[in-house]
Amino acid sequence: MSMKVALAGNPNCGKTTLFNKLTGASQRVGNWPGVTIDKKVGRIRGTDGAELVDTPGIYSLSPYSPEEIVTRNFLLEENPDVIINIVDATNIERNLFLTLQILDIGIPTVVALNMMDAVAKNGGSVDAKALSERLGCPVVPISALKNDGVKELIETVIATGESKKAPGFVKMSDGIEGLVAQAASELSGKVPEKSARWYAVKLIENDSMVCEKFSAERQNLTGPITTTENDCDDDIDAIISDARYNAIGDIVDGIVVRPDISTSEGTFSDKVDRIVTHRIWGIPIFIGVLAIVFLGIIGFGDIVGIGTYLTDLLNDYIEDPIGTSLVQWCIDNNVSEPLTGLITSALIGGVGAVIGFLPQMLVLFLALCILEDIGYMARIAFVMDRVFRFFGLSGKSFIPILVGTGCGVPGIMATRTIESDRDRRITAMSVTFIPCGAKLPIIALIAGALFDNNGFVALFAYLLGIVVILMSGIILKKWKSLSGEPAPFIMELPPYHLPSIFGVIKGTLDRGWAFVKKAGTIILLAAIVIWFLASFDWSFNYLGADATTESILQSIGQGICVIFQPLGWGDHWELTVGSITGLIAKENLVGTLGTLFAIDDPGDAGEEYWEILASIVTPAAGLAFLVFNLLCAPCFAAIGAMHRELGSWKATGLAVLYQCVLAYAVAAIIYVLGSFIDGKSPEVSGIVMAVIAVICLGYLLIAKDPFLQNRSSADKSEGAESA
Amino acid sequence: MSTGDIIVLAVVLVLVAGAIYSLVRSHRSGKCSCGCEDCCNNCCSSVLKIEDGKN
Repeated sequence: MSMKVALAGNPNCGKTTLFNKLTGASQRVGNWPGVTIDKKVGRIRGTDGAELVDTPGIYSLSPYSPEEIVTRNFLLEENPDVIINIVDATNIERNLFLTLQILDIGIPTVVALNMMDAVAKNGGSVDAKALSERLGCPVVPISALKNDGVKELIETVIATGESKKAPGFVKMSDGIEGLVAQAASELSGKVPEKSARWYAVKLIENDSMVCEKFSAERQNLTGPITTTENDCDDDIDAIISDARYNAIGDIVDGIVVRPDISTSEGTFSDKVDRIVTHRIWGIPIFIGVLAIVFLGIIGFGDIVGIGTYLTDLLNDYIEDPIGTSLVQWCIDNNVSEPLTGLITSALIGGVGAVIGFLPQMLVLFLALCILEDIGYMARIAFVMDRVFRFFGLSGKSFIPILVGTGCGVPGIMATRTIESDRDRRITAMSVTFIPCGAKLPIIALIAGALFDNNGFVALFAYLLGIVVILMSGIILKKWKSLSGEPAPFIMELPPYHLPSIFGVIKGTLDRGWAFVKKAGTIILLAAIVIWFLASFDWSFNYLGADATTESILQSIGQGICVIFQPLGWGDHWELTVGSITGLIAKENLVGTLGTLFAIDDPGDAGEEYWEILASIVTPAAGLAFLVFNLLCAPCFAAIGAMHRELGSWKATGLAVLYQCVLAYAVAAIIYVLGSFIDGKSPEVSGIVMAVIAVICLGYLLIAKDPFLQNRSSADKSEGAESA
Repeated sequence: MSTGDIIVLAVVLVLVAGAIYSLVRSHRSGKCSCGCEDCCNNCCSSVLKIEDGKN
């Protein structure tokens, strides 16, 4: 049977980087904590099929959030042959806190001392041999990023696994060890012998899961534990934490040489952080960075952004020679009108319209990957914590939002890193308000067609997403099941480093490939269906270029589009159909409009149909259309992910309803305000809807939280009872 | 039906079959049908298995 190896360590210590090096896999690596939220399995290269399991990062084996439970359960219940405990050598004391607990489990363990290159670069050092002797397990210095020491690590892991030698454990103070011995005696025969020490320590520590399982045994220890607490004048879990850190102090004493960094100035990262995480300047700097990215990519005024320039080139190429050649080929080969329409409308018009945005997407993905890789994104979460806390959410909610800028599905899944169930549910319901990669073509379409390629439209979309998430924090906390104080947010800021060229290019191409793959699958199929429904009537007669006035799709869309009259685009059923097909995948909205407009004017792609869009809606109505589609129900895949995190279809349905109603209300307000600013008269129904929306949103935002007081009282009474 | 029609129909059918096959294959391998490679472990409630670096 092949060996099973677990990879465990603190968040953001390089587990996934090492996992990729050991297995040759290409799992996503991020320069912030919480990238891995479920275990991943691979096979270690160069071994006899040894299986490696990457687990989410944890600080201790007393888990709080769902992804931490994944790691603990795996280590305890799935009985790996060896544990690779990856330790960040630049933060060795804090990382060893987990190491001591892993050693207590009694499974053969190898400590991989990662980031040794960074330690050496700063003039520090760690004596791995001495550390190994003090910990009682092998220690291998490595640099996962540079692939240094990885081969030695594999050899040590295999040798340790084959020897099945249990590691030593690190003794704490005599008083604590006495308690551990008593607890171990209570648990004798009831837990696996090799893990007896771990269970004993956790029983003393008041670990909720262990205490629940062995409540009688815990009862028997109440006397000695209370005595220890009285002697030390502290809670037992704090006493044990202190004991562990004292033991760690003894372990590192004399074998760890710290880098010579002036405490007054700190490291390079500290100096940069003083500016970018400044309590006043942090947020303007964040907005400035976003503005530079979007203006550089999309453009502003006469300045053409690099993404727009490349997109224009590709759109021109799709139109001519690709489009014109295909049309000419159809004429030369007597291809029938419907099939010519299929090629010009569905393939060139629909799929081509989406693919045309690929260069813009790639440049934006590149910029976001660089910001991620250098460590700036983690700072944004830190900066936003203050703002989020003010609005009732935890800064930890910002990590899923950052992930959600790529795709809403992993963004929703990343909410598992949030310990508070209430915050997790609120974040899962609101994370898709931030524009994901799939919504970028919609933003670029509106910016290009109605705002002369103005990058501020993209900046507006992202900032609006954040504002609506904050509004949701206030509104949803007023629901009984979601009320309560935000959970505390503690996050380690990774040091800044130069972006890894390979990692950035790979991250960009992965996202770009996902975009192309979607265009070639979901968008293609949807474009063909849309073309069919828009080109035939209910008797399945082909209608030709005038199809959109009598087609199946027109009759359906016309019936629904009245709903959007107050948003300024209710006269155009094509936009309504686009919003609905966007539920399949958000890019599909662009593909649908491309198909429908191309039926009217075959062979057009890219900017040609932007002109059609510009001629049928005002900029204010276009902005309302954009806002509605950014904020309303996400695609089906994201709705499915939301269902998994919320746990029921009822909760999911309510969440989708909330998103759609909020999107409608915000879009109505923006349409009316935008129309007045633009000097145009909005629809009367729009004004009525906007007034209702302002009153309702104002009430929901300002009204006092009816449950907060009750909950605080309940918390106080619980505290009194336990006292 | 002209030769051009047959060629166009064949190409469209191949594209459609390829798209459906790709979606079904992604779904069965535990990857998300939305096409996003980021979210491939868990979309189908299964853990992604990586064999020798091949996803």
